[in-house]
Amino acid sequence: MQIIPILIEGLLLGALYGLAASGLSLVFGVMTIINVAHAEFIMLGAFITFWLWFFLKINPILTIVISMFVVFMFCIFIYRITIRRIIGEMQLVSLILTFAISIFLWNFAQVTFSSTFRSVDYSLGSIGFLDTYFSMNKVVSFIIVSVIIGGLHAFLKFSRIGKAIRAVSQNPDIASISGINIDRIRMFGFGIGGALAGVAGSLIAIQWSIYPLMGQDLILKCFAIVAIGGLGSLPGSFIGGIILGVAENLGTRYLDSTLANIIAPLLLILTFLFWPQGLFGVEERVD
Amino acid sequence: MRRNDHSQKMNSPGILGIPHEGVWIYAIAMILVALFIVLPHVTSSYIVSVILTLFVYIGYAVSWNIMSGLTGYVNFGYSLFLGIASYTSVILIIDYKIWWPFGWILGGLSAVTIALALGGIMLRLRGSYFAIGMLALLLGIKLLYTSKYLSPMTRGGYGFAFIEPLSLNAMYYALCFLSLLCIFIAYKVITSTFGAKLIAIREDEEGVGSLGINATGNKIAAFALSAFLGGLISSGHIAFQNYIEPESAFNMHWTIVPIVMVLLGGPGSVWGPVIGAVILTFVEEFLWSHFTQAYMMIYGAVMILLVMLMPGGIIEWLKGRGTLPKIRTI
Repeated sequence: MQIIPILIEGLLLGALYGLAASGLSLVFGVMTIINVAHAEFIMLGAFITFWLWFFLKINPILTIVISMFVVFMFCIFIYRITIRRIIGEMQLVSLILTFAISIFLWNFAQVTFSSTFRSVDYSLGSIGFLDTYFSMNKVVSFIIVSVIIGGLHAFLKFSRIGKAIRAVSQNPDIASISGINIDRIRMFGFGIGGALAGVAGSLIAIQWSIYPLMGQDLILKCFAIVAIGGLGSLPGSFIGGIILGVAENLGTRYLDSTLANIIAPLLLILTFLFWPQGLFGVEERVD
Repeated sequence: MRRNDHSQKMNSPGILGIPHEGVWIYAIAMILVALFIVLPHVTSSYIVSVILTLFVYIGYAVSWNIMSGLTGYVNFGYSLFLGIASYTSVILIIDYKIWWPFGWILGGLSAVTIALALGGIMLRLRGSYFAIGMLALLLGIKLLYTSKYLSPMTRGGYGFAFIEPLSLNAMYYALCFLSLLCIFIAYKVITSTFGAKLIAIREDEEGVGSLGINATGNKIAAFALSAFLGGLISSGHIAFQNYIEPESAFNMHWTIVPIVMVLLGGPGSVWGPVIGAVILTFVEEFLWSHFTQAYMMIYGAVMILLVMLMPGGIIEWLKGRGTLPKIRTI
């Protein structure tokens, strides 16, 4: 059976994709903006892990907590100085603004870090299963992703802030008259979205090489995943990520690597055209 | 407000949006045109190539604005049309020995073909879905041009060097003419009822539909026009570069630059993109030679500030201060 290892590889990759896209989905849910700069937060997370490992020799797995916190604070800063001023304007304004933030960030990274490929030299060995060996890094990252997605789900379901976030994404007006400070909740939502991106970046850093343009190469995959799963749905983006991961692995195996890269844009456009709600999307609000 | 605008427009129709009161503007325009004509004969080829780049950027900004500035549908896949037109024109001129003006026009027409094919599908999507979808298409088609499937024509991902049979001066005059043509067409569009429909689509698309106007048809027409003009200019631009490869022909840079220029000048106006292009071409030339690495970063920062502080661009700012009359024809 050749197909099983490919599917497992796809699952391991896809879960990471799902985590990378979940922040995008969350931010869309809370404030209906499509954050084009999201993938740049992933890049920042990856570089935080790299520099902490490179200079301070901190175990890359432990840096996840730091990169989560740093990107969270950074996103709150970005929200306070830019995003909050344009909420409620036309979607195009937010699209162009986040696009500009993205351009600024990747070029900033290119200027300060230079555009060389770097990688964190950290290996946990490998694990054998069904006559194939899987990198332990990928397995560990899969476990971490599952824990974080599960934790996030519980957080949104049961905690006070989580409930408020869901209320704001369902109906900001009603949430507001119920005494929820929408601006604060949106700030938290944006920060949590960024923190998820930061974790995804750290996990990417222990598996692949990282470079300032990595966000640009990831952003379309994130969009495709969010489109498949349904904008604003968290389980949707996790499952969408797995679908894309498996599809890409099958594509690389049975077609060629160029065509495998075309899968994400193709899935994105097909979903937009024929199935705009995606898997778990809700009907678009009229407001 | 609208009625007032209308009467002002009636009193001073002007030429290309400039009211008759501003006679001095004609004088400056005459001097500029004369300057552009004699320029290649009196200065170095460096200056000529900078001014040529200026014409290219004016063309890009003005044609991006025709679609996105007017309808509000942000086209993040603009480089898609530029890349396809560049490839078509280069392959026709170099491999099939077609006379270069025809090659350029066919390049523009190939972009129109793609725009019509995609427009019918993509322009049924709503605003941000369209923007993201175009970004996806740009990436997909760039990969297709890199792949081995098209490599008999495109020579694969490494591209190739070529020399089109025309001198730098001929290119300069051709692009000068094309960028003036773009401005003229943009003026004609913005002052026509077609332009008014496009602006109405930006303001309230459902409302436009309820008036019995075919919004999608008008959007597709603007999309195709924008692709054609962009394709023409880009065919000239690639002739100047003497090298073509997918990564640079379809580069996101050729989408970012017009967007920043239009935002700076004023989206949806005739002269806004031109002003933005003039300012940013010289800024870019300065930054490129002094801070080669940092200039895209500065572009990003400028874009952030513009969206937040001056969403209407320079033109709207001047109209707000009363320096310019509040008419659509500027």
